Amino acid sequence: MAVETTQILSSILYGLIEGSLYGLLGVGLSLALGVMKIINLAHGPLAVLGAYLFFSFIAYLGILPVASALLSLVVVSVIGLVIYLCLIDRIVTVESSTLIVTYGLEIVIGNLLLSMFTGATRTVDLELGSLNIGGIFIGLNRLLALVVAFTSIIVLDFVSKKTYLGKAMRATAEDIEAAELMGVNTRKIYALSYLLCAFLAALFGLCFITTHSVDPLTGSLLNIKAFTITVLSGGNLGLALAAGLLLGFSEIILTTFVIPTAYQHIIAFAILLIVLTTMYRRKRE
Amino acid sequence: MKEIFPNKKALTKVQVAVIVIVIVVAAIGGLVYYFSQPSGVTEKTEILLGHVAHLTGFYAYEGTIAAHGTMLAVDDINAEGGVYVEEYGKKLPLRLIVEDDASDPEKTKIATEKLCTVDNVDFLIAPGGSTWNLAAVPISEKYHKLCIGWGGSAEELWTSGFKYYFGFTTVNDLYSATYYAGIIGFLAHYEEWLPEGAPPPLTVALIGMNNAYGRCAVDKMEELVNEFGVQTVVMKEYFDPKTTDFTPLITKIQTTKPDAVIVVGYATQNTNFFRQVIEMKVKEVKIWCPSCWFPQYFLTLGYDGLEYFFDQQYWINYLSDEARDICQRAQEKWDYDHSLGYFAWGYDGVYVLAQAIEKAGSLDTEKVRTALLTETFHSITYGDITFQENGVPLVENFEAKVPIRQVVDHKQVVVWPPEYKEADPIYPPPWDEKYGS
Repeated sequence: MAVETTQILSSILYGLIEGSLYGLLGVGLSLALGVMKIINLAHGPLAVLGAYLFFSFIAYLGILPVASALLSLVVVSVIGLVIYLCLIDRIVTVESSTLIVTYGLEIVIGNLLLSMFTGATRTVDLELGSLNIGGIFIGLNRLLALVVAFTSIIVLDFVSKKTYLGKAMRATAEDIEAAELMGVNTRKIYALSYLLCAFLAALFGLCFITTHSVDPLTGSLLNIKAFTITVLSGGNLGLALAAGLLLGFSEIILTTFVIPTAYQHIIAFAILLIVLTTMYRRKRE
Repeated sequence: MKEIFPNKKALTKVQVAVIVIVIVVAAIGGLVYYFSQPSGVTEKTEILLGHVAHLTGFYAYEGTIAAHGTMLAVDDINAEGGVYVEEYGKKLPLRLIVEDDASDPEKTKIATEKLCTVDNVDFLIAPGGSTWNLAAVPISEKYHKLCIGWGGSAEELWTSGFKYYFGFTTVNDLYSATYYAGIIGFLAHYEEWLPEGAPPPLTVALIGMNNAYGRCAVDKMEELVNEFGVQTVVMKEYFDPKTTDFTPLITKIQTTKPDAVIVVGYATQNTNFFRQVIEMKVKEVKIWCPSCWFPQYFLTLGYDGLEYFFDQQYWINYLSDEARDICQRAQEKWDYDHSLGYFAWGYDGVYVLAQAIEKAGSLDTEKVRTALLTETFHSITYGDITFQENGVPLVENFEAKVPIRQVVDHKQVVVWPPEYKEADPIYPPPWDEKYGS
C-alpha cells in the first residue's frame, strides 16, 4: 500500500485542525487548574451545552449562525459565572470538594441536555463547501474552526500577558496571598477566570458541532481529552496549545497510518498513562 | 495528613433524631406496603410486556421505528380483544411498558432490571442491536423472563446458552445472508451491469462499527465476498460507534484505493461518515455503499452530495399485502415512512409472542418457551417461522429482496436486481466532472 504525499499532507492538515481544537479545549481547563487550582469536570459538558444552544438557536429559532454563536457564548459564560458564584465560590479552596461538585455538574448538565434534546446526535452544517488545497479537499467549516481556535489562543495569551486582568490572574495563580496583599481582588479574579473558562468551553463547543457531531453525553469524552492536555501542559496556557496539537496529530496520524481506527479514543488514555507514570517516577526519584 | 473534610462536625441531637425518624417512617411504610399486597394467585386482567427501546441516543432512529412496530402490534391484538389464554379461559389484553435506554447499554441493564423486578412484566421484547441485547438478556435470563429479540444479530446471542431468548435476525442465517448478499451479489454480478469499457470493481473495503454487530457483519460480508470469489477484500477496518471524526479512516481508504466501500453503521454514524466523505470529495472509490437502514434520514445530507452513492434497502416494500398494509397504517399514525425491516421485526416480536401464548394456553414462561420450540408461527417479515433449541429462527421458502439503489438526478432509483431495476447504474461515477480533476 503506497502512501501518497497528498495523503500524508491531508493527515497533517486534519491533525493540525483537530489539534488546534483540542488546544482550545485544553486551554480552558488549564486556566481553571492554573488560576483556581481546580479540576473543572464541568468543562466538557459546558462545551456541549454551548454546542446545543448554538444548534437550537439556528434550528429552532431560525437565528443567523453568527448571532446564534454570540448568543450561545454569552449564555454559557453567564451560566459559568452563576455556577461559580452559587457553587464553586463556597468550596474553591477545598480541592476534593471542587472535584466532586464539578463531577456532579458534569452529570447534571449531561442529563439535563439528554432530557431536553433527547440523546440524538446533532451537528450544525454551515454549508460552506470545501476548498481544494493542492488536491486536498478540506471543508471550510474546518478551516474556520482552525482560525477561531488559533485566534482565541493568541488573544488569550495577549490578555494574560498584557492586560491588568491577565496579570492579576497570573499573580493569583502564583501566590494568592501575595496577590491579595498587592490589592488584587482574588475572589473577583476567580469568578472572572471561571467565566472565561466557560466562554472558552462554549467557543470550543461551537467549533466542535460544526466539524463533528455532538450528543448530550459527549462532555465526558471531551473531559478526558482536555484533562490529557492539561496534564501534558501542567496548566500552562502556552503549552496547552502544543499539547492539544500533539494529541490531535497523534490521533490522526496514528489512526491513519499505524493503528486501527477503532483505537482512536485510546490514544488520549495512553498518553495520559505514560505522562502520569513518568511524572510519578520522576517525583519519587 | 490533610483532612478531606476539614470543617466536619459531630452530628447534633436534632440531626440524629431526624435521621432516626426518617428510618422508622421508611421501615413502617415498607412493612405496610408489603402486607397490603394481595397474597396467593390473583386473577390476571392483562398481559404485561416490557420493552427496552432506544427512543433517544445514537440508535434512536432504528429503535423508535421498532418500538412503533411493537406498539402497533399491541394495538392490533387488543383491537381483537387481546390474547386468548386457556388457563384463564378468556382473552387478556396486552399492556406494553416501554423504557427508553438512550441507546446506552448501561441504561439498558437498569431498565431491564426495573421491568423484571419493579414492573414484574410477564414477557420482554428485547432492545435493538446486538450490544444492547447482550446487555439485557443475561438479566432476563436471571429472572426467567422470556425475551423476544427483534434486532440482535451477533452470533454471541445464539452461542451463549441463553435459554429464554428467541430472535428474528441472525448474522449467519436470515439477516446477513439476505441483507448483505444484496450488495455483495450486486458487486459479484458486475458483468450483468458493467458499461462497456468500464473498469470492473475488483477490490472491496469493509468498514464496520467496533461492536458485536459491526464485527459479525463485516466477517459475514468477507465470507460472502470469498464465496462469490469475484472480488478481493483489501481492507477491513472498524470504528468506535462514538466516533465523530472519520477523517483518518477516510484518508486510510484513500490510501488503500478500493473500488468499493461498504460501511456498516447505524443511521447516525453513516450520516457522519458520509458527510465527511462528501466534504473530503474522495474520488478514488467507485462504489460507496452505506448499509443504512434509514435512507430518509441519510438523505438529509442532500441529493447533490449523495449523487452516485449506492444504498441497499431491506425488503419490506416488496413484501406481502399484509406487510404493506401494516406499514401503511404505521405511516398514517406516525406520519413518516415505516416500510423498513426494523418496524416489521418490532411488530413480529409481539405478534409471534402472542401466538405462542395462545398455543401454550398459559403465561408460564416454560410453557410458552415449549410452544415457541415446537410450533410454527406466522410472521409478517418471513411468513412461516419456527425456532431451534438455541432460539435461532428457521424460515422456509423465504426469498430475500434487497434492492440496490443509486441517487441520480435528485432521485433514488433501483439499479439491481434486474427484476426491480428502474435504471442502469451509473458506473464509474463521474467524480472528476462533479468535483473537478
